[in-house]
Formats: sequence, C-alpha cells, structure tokens
Amino acid sequence: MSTILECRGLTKRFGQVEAVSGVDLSVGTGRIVGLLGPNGSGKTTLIKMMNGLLTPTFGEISIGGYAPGIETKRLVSYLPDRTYFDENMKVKHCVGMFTDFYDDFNPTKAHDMLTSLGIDSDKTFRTLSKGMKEKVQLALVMSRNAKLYLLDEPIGGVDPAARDYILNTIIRNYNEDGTVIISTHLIADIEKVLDDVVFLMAGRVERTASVDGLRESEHKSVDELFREVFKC
Amino acid sequence: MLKNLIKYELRSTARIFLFSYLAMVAITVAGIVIRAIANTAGRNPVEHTVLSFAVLALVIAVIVVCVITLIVIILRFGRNLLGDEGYLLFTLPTTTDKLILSKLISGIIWCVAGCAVTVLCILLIGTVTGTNLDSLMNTLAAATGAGMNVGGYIAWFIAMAVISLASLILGLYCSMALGQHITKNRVTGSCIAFIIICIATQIITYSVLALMHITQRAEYGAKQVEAVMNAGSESAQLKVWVDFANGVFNSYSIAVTVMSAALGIACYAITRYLLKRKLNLA
Repeated sequence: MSTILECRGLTKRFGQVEAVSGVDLSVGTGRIVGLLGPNGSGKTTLIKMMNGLLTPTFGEISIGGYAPGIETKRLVSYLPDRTYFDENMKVKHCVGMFTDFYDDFNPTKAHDMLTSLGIDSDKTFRTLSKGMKEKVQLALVMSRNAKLYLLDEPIGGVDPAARDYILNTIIRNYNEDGTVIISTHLIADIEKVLDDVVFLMAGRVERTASVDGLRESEHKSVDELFREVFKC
Repeated sequence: MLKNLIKYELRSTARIFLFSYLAMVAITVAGIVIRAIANTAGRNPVEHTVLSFAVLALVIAVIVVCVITLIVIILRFGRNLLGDEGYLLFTLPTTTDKLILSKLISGIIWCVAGCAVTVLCILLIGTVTGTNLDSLMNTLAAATGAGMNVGGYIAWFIAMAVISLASLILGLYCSMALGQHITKNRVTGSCIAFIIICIATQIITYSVLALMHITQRAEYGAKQVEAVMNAGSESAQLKVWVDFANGVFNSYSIAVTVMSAALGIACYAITRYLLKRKLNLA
C-alpha cells in the first residue's frame, strides 16, 4: 500500500490561536478514513490546507508526491462544507464546468446520479434546497475518478435518511484505487463504512488506528471510543 | 483552461450586462420614437423636450452602467475568488495567473462592450436629430491632410484607455487581496488598501510628470526657441510649435501609459503572490 497523503509537522495559526498543531499524518491508498473530532478540533482547517485553500504556518503536505498545487488539484476531489457554485448557475452548467476542467470526470455518471435524485438539470442552483445543493455537489465530486476524495462534513447538515443516501453514494461511486477522507463528528452514522480513523482533538492528532484493530483491542465501537476520548 | 474560465465568467455576468445594454438601447429608441411621434404631430417644442429627456436619460443610463460594471468587477473577484465560490475556483486544476487573468479579461470585455453600446446610442441619436457627422469626418480628413496620423492617434488613445482600465481593475484586485491581510474586516481592509494604492500611484505619477516637465522646459529653452528663430516664415514657425506641442503631448501620454502599465503589473504581481502563497479563505 503506497502513501497518497503525508503531513509533516503541519501547523496553522490564526493570530494567537493554533487551529492545527504539529500534525503528522500518513494515509495509504485504497482506504476510507474517518477524520473524527468534535467541533473546533481542526478538521476543516486540516482539509483546507490539503486543498491549498489555507497556507500552513509551518509544516509540509504531500499528496501523491506533490505539494498542494495544480498537480494535486488533478488528484483530489474535494467536497467543502458549504455551497461553492454560483447561485445563478444551472445544474447542467455545473456538470459542464466539471467536464471542462477535470479530465477524470464522468458526466454520464453525474447525470445518472442527478436523475436518480430527481434533480432537473435546467434548474438554477438558487432554486434548490440546501440538502439538494449538497447532493448535487456530492454527485459531481463522486463522479470523478480521483486518487483522493476529501469530503468535509458530507453528512453534517442533512436528515438521517439523506445521510444514508450520501454514504451509499460515496461507497458506490468512489474510485476503489483511491482514498476517501471523510471529516465528521457524526461517528455512529459513518462508522460502518470506515477502514481507518484519525481522532483530532484541539488541533492535534489524538489517535490513528484501523477500525477493525480498534474494535479488537478496545472491544468498543468507534462511536463509543469517540465519546470516551472526547468526553466533555 | 483560460478560455474555459473566461467562458464561465462571461456566462455568469452576461445577464446583468446584457440587460443593462438593452436598457440603454431601449431608452435611446424610445426617445427617438416618441420624438418622431411629436414631430409628426407638428409640435416642435414637445419634440425638443422629448429629445432632451432622451439624451438626459441616456446619460444617466451610461453612468448607471459604469457604476454597475465597476460593482460587478469588484463583486466577481471578491465573491468568486475570496468568498465561498473560491472553494471551487482554487481547487480547479488551473494556475492562479489564469484565475486572475480570466477575471481581468472578462472585466475589460464588458467595459469595451459598454463603450460600444454607448457609441451606438450616441450615433443613433445623432443620426435621427440630423447632427452632421460629415463635419467630424471633414475635420479628421483635414487633419490627416496636414500630416497628422489620425488613425495612429485613435489607436494610441484606445491602447491608453485599455491599459489604464486594466491597471485600475488590477488595482482593485490588489486592494481586495491585500484587504484580508490588513484587518479582520475584509471590506474595510480593501478600502484602506485601495486608498493607499491610489495615493502611491498619484505620488509616483506626478513626481515623474514633474520631472519630465522640468526636462521639457530645459529642452524648450535650449532648442525650441532657436528652432522658432531659425524657422523663417510664420507658417514654418507654426509648424515648429505644433511639432513641439505634439512631442510634449506624446511624451507625456507615453509616460503616463507606461507608468499605468507598470503600476498595473506591480498590482498583478502582488495579487498573484498573495493568492498563490498567502491564500487564507475564511
């Protein structure tokens, strides 16, 4: 198993606040990894640094052997925790945009997923509900044949039924040679799909382990362990 | 990739601009039609009043379109790159240069289109009111006959306008890119940065022009008086003066344009550095 993502001493400060502190992390290919931690633990900051949207204060990131830049953007399929399309864009133009910019994007797959969701491609983004917008973005992100999927809180703002749909979409559509990193604090919903977990607390990596290994050694589910580790 | 970025940028902004241009043409045509009706009815004072209002409405429309263009250029950069949409744009496999250039080129395209529509409306009104464009053409022909390169001047004027426009837009981009590093409030930071850039631009521009003015006066003292004295006839003296004036005009306009281009390039370099090396999307 080769390494797709490597972080060395990764630190991000916002003024006096250290959001991420000296994170060392190595993630192999073909894994589904849960980046788990309570609110404010640094999950989103870490993912944003991986995407080059935040500049690290210290440390290095390597994705597929490259520092964040144009090469890594070809490898990474990123789902942010917000709507990132122009609200006036039609859904079909969003698909067109991904087709134009990403060589590994499969528009047929995207249209099929949108059809299964009952989304009219002629609708503008503005007219969709929050949940629908998230699903459109997820459909586009998962229609790429990426090496690394970085999904920031994909199930954060949706109802339990939609969570199942989203998780099934991820499992059914990701590139099996690739790696999926899912950040969330909703462990119980996501536990069943994870191979590995990374616990983040106050910007530091508290623990990294495989889910099976964790269950065997601790005799607890990841959710139970999470509640124990992050007990208030 | 740049072509695609420009395509999506133009598509995103087309609706508001096309609507604005349509409004300008509609105002012009409405004024012309109402004037024609008044004219048919034989009421000359009404006809003149209608035309005056049409011209006034067109002037207001042009001002509104200029303001809209400026606001859209600012918002497109602010929201599309530094706001939530930046999460998409900065994760596309393209360079920071292409992201900035796509915004800049699209902005210039809309400004040029706005100017073209304005000229079209003016020509429409001019034609309908019987304003004799022949006199303008005759003047230009006479100037060409006297040895003036009219085509060259027009091309130079357009080049100056485009360079100054690009420099202004890059100044705005630079202010916004700097704004997020100056204060926590991005808008306040951008305004402060823009004021600083404007002051620096004015100081540099006027310093160079003042220096040039001194040089030109020195040149005038040493050479031009002598040339006038040696010119002989009045027409020859006049030609020397015209050549001198042209020379001064050209050297000043070249200097201003070169400085404008240099400041634009400096703003571009700062923006590029901040977006590439110091990006921190909220």
